[in-house]
Amino acid sequence: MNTPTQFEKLGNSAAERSIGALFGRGLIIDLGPLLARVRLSNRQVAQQFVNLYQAFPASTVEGFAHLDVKVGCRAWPAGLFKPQARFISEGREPFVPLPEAHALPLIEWGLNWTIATQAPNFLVIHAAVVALNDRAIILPGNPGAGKSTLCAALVAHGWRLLSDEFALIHPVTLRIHPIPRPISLKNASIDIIGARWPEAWHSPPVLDTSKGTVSLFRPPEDSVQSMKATASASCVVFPRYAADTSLSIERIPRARALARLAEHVVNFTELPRKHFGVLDRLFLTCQASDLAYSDLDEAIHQLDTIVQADRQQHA
Amino acid sequence: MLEKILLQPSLSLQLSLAEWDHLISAARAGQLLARLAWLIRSHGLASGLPEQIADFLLAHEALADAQHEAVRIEANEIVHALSRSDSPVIFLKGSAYVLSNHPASQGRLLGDIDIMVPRARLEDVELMLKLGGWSNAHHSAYDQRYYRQWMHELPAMIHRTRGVVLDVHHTILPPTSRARVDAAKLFRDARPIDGLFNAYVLSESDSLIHCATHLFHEGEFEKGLRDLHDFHVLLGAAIERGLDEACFAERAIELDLAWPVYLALRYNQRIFNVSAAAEATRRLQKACSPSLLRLALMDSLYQRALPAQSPDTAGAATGFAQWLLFVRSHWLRMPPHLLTYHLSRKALTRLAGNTSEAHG
Repeated sequence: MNTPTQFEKLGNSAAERSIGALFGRGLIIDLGPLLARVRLSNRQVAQQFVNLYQAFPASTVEGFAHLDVKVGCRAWPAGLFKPQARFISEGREPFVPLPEAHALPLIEWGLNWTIATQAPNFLVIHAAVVALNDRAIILPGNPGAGKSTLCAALVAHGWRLLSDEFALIHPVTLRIHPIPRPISLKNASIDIIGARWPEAWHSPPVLDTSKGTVSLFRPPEDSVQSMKATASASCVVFPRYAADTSLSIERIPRARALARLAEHVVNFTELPRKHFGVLDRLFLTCQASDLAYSDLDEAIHQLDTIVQADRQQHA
Repeated sequence: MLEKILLQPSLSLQLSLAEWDHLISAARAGQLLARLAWLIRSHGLASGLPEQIADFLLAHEALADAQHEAVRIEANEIVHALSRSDSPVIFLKGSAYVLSNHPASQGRLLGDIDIMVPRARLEDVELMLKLGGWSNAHHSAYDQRYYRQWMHELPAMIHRTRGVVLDVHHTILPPTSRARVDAAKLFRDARPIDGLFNAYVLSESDSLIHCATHLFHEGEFEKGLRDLHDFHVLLGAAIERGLDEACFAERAIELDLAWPVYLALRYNQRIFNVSAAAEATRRLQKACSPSLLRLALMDSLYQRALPAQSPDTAGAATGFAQWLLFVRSHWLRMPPHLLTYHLSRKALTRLAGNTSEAHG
């Protein structure tokens, strides 16, 4: 999908105009394969949002968007006593309201929810995706497995960010469509990645969310600039962080890999037969492995090796 | 605008991106996105869609196809579970359109599965379903009593492993409502489904009558346009097969459902701007002889509530009209003393913080 013409890099347009649109009828952001209309009602959150999405094309003109997300506040006068952030999509409120301080992560979680439920044109897998050139590694994540941390460390090391949250696979071409939104890091990972990736702007940590402390890291400019370039899946690696263990990598047989990856497909119930076929074809060319690690540098080195070997094979 | 595009899909070629935005969000809210995708594709318009819309919109048709596949499997399971009861079972609404390969199934998204069995077999059927793995979804004693005593269906049942929700009816309107429908007549005319033992769908006329009855007695107006479009497609298909309009009107009168069928015909004509079934409309209007004042009131409410609403543009007047119609749907379903009791009971339960599931 080409970016429509009236779009302009968010960082290049006047911040006041963008924030005005976020407060008004919405700012449409080109996330790569999907356009999202975003509306916010808190000035500080709007400022942080514009900072995070600086490199993305955006438009203040009324137009088409695939996704509609809004984080509003409680109506006066209740809002004065107990300020809340409420997520609303297409006039519906699918989640319970959160404290006002959680507005920025809430807009990201809301975007995740709309992508998971409203993009039937893709097989949507809950996974981080990184690539060297056009060869991608899919990192599916069980909570706490360290998918986002490993993804951020690889991106800080120079890999291209395709997504921190979802692998969007085209059901016919099997190409992965990048959606390089901000990387969401939690708790100890925030400082670990902050130290490895000092040049990345990240949002002030939000404390006491349901996932602990959360901070959003701005995606690298060149990952966003190249987001229209799709990638092919080289391998699926199931990461597992385990303290004080030495690195181990183990190949997973094809049928088992398919069954395990299916567990991470978020729109499998809607299109079971079609999506099963997509996974089946994906694993004709794509390898799968389990990776246990405790040291990020060792893990990065291991994944570098895998993609180099894959490149030689495809050269 | 959605009404116009449903009627004449080629109009979509002239839409601006902002208009597409409103159209798609209205179709999503009205459960009509898959139907829209089907219409666009089957009219050969896919290649004219804007790049950012084409794949996205067309993919929604597959959602309906996947649900249809699931409903065929589920129908087999239901028929199998009921095989020892030798009770006939009529599939209703969406699942009926799918199982009989009716044009109204194209792009039709499904919710729960609705079936109807003779009242005398109800206990037997419930037992067979429970043995087959279904159980009651409503647990409070009040909810159980509400359904069993006053409604035309059992409390919703849910399959323990497959999670599909099944509504088991014994007629098409609550026994407490003003219209008296003799369900035996519906069974007499039902048509068997190919390949499913002792399973039926309503006759062509009765499907139309049930669709209209559902539309004007249920309180769910988010799906109002979807149901009206189902009626539009059912009526079109029936006329194509040579519907005898006089018999159709006679049947609606015989079932004591002339009024909702008249309204469905009226709003099919007004909202989709067609003149279909003028003869049946005339006969039913004569049978109901509504006062001009009553019609003007109905028009002002339904012509606000039925057309597609995109969530952002639905105004307060529409919300108020929908609320009045919700009240009306209850009014038609229950006599005033029962309604007062039911609503106060619900309100008190809600105040007491009991989270028992709400029903219509």
